Amino acid sequence: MSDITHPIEHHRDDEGTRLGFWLFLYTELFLFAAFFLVYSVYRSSHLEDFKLAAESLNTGIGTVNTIILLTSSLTMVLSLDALKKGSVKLAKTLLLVTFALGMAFLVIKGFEWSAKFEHHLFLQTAKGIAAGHGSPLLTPGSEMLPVGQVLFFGLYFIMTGTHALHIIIGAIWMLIVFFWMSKGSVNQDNHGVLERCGLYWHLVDVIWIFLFPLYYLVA
Amino acid sequence: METSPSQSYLNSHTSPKWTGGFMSWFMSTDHKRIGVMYAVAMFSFFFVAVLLGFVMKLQKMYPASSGWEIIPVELYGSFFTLHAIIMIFLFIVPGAPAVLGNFFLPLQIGAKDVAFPRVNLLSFWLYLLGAIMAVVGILLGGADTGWTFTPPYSINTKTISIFGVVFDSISWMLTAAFILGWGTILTGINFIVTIHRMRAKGMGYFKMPLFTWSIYATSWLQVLATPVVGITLLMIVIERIMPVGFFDPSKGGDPILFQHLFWIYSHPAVYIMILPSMGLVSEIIPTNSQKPIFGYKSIAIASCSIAGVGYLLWAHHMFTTGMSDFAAILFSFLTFFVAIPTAIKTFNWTATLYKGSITLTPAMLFALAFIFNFSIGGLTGMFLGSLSTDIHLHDTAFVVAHFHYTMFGGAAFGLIGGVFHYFPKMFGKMYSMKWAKAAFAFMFIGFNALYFPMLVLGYYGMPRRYHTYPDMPIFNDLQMASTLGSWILVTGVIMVFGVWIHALIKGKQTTEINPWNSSTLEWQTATPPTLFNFEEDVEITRDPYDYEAFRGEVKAGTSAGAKNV
Amino acid sequence: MTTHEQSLSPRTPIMVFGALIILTIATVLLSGLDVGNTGALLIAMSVASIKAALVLYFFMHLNHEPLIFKLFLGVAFFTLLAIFVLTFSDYSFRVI
Ligand code: HEM
Ligand SMILES: [Cu+2]
Repeated sequence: MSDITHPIEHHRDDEGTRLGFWLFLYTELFLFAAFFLVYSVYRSSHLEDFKLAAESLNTGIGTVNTIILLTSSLTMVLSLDALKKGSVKLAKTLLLVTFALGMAFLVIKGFEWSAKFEHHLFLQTAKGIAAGHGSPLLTPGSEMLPVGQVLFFGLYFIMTGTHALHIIIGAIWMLIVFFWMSKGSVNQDNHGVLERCGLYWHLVDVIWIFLFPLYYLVA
Repeated sequence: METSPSQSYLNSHTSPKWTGGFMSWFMSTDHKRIGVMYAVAMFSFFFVAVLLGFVMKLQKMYPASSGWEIIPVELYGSFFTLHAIIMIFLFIVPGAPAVLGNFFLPLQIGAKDVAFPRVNLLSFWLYLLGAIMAVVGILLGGADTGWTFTPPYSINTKTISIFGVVFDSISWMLTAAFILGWGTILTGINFIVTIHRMRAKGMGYFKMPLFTWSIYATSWLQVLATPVVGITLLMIVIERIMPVGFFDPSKGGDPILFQHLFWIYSHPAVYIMILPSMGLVSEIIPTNSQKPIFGYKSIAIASCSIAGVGYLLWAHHMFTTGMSDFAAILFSFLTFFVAIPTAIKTFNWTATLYKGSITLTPAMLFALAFIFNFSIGGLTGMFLGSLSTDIHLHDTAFVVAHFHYTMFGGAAFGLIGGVFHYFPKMFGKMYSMKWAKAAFAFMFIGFNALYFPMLVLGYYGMPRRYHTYPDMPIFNDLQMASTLGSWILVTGVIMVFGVWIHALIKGKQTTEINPWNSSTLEWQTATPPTLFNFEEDVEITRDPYDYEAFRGEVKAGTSAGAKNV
Repeated sequence: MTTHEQSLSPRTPIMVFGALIILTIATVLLSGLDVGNTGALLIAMSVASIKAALVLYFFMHLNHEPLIFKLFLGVAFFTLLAIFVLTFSDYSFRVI
């Protein structure tokens, strides 16, 4: 039998693939846009509470994390450029650096979160709350935070959490690309995967560029 | 099995590994097979949901005081929720793009496949996964929140426990909807890139058939609207299982904000449903009038402006929720704008009929019914879009009739008509014309007998989502008429399926390339199409609906529309 | 294969990166100013938009992409804008 492979796989359309990937990035953007919309609405209706709650966030940590993420974006760009020039080794090193910076971001985020946990501003299952060891965040009764702050912390955890999830996905992706580069299937001529991984990583950065001022600066 | 690219797609495979039986379909990246698989899955779900609707109508045959009860009150809520979830998320939103778009979009633009065939298969798998999850959720726990999942009810309503295990069927169904959403998004991305990158030589944007144009507009809505509702539904899940506040007023949330986010998707979604069917009508009508479509460009542009304007109207679903008066007036005002491109299309279709040599094929009958039903659906939409009348009509049977006129009488009639139109090309089998026309007659009469009374019922104040009604002559008579209509309609639906299944099993084999003498490109290739659609590269030299040139080509014996190079 | 020629010298990315860092520090410092709520929001969002534009344009290589990529970005951007403006046509005029 004749071995039929798909005609599309014969002729590679890098520009088309990039176009499709950009469309995918827009869907990610719109996903976050819904969160941002919720944030803006509640910020406008609970301004004082948002400001009070935001004081418990550490601007220093936020700034450091922003710089880490921006740096990782730079190393990502340089890694792709290196691959395009044919220096696979440099590309691999820079990709690892990017990965490490992503991890650093997560570790710092983790410390920040656990500090919040200790102040009982933590996420908890509805079951736990029903069992009575709830956080003051939501336990009905005396110690419950004002609703504006409940909204703030909920949004803070879920938005930064979703963002962190994207960082994790991006990091795993980098490891896979790294592996492919070692195997040689991703190379100077075939660098589309690294390019897309980079685009994804930059988008995650763009989202953080907006998260950062909204949570650490203006609230 | 011996396969070669010049054989029908029904006998050749995209992967040398899977060449037989079920797996040769399930693992196939061929856009045509994927389209057929969607069709099988979607129409099966459709049939289940039709039966649910049938039972609901049966319930409303007699008023409460008569003691008539087919389904208890508590179950009625689950019934309309499941009916709507299946109809919306599993049937009409994937709808025509998934079935006929997949099959015919590449054929219409002279491409060998879509841009990302494997992603296309992934879309189908996601659809199937989401659908199976939804069905499991239905069987295990169900939901009675309505397909709109409106909080706070959707947040606070209890979970059920099965044999002591807590099962949160609402979260489960919401997650299923999220997964289904990704299926549609990926299809949309795929089609946009296909249209931009894979048109045959000579196929300029304004040489594309109108179905392709409508799919293009639809795809943009799928890409830009679906993520919003996806994450919004997940927010409900998060709010159900974690102590955060998004929409629950007891945690400071604003349930109206949920409705904004929900309708930011779900209003554009009604155009996701209707635009592809409009595209199908734009194919069926010129073919069966043997005339160029009137105002080709204005229809193409109208598709895009419907998509664009359609994104800006969502809050007309929320006039009575307590949103600000300013927004209500603004959205009411904006709503009227979408009537313009819609009316342009309707006028163009009717103008195409004028002095055409009309053949009333089953597809043509469905297309004409589309115009009729959709005009009623669209015009009643104007009642609901104007602020003052909507206050009276909101959440009544009028609304139910309105959206069935658009989604069923419009979108689903268009899709069914499209399947009749393309059936011989897809399967190389011919169905019985006589039975197809009879099925149409039942569907059309039954449909109007079912829903027209509901318009009046709503006007007299019959609320939506109610399980019964008080014993009053006007209600009793109209409800009875409506229920009888549902019997005729369901008979028609069963007949349509009967015609299709009979044709597939026992239908006359045909290899006729162009049974309806259509001038567009998808008809100028083998029946059924071969694996790579066209034997050679095609080049387009004329407009898609240039019937004069087409007849010349037929006389001269050159293949119409496409010149082999 | 990318059809367009692009210089692969690290100069541009590093300069862009410098600008991003400067803007980050600037926005942190500016947030200390007492310009009221709207003012602070306006400043922070403007700086963030500039930063995002730099990332999109240089790091994500929009500058090397054909027109169609920019048109797509425009479509996405205006849709986002519409969502926000229209939603606030409700919330800005709520009478509670
Ligand atoms: C024979 C076919 C059908 C019948 C008999 C039928 C009947 C019904 C009935 C009785 C209701 C409940 C009305 C109420 O109590 O307020 C309903 C609701 C609904 N139907 Fe259908 N229907 C049919 C087909 C369709 C189709 C084709 C679609 C969409 C493509 C559809 C979409 C819906 C939706 C979205 C609702 C709203 C449910 C809600 O209020 O949450 N139906 N239908
Ligand atoms: Cu609407």
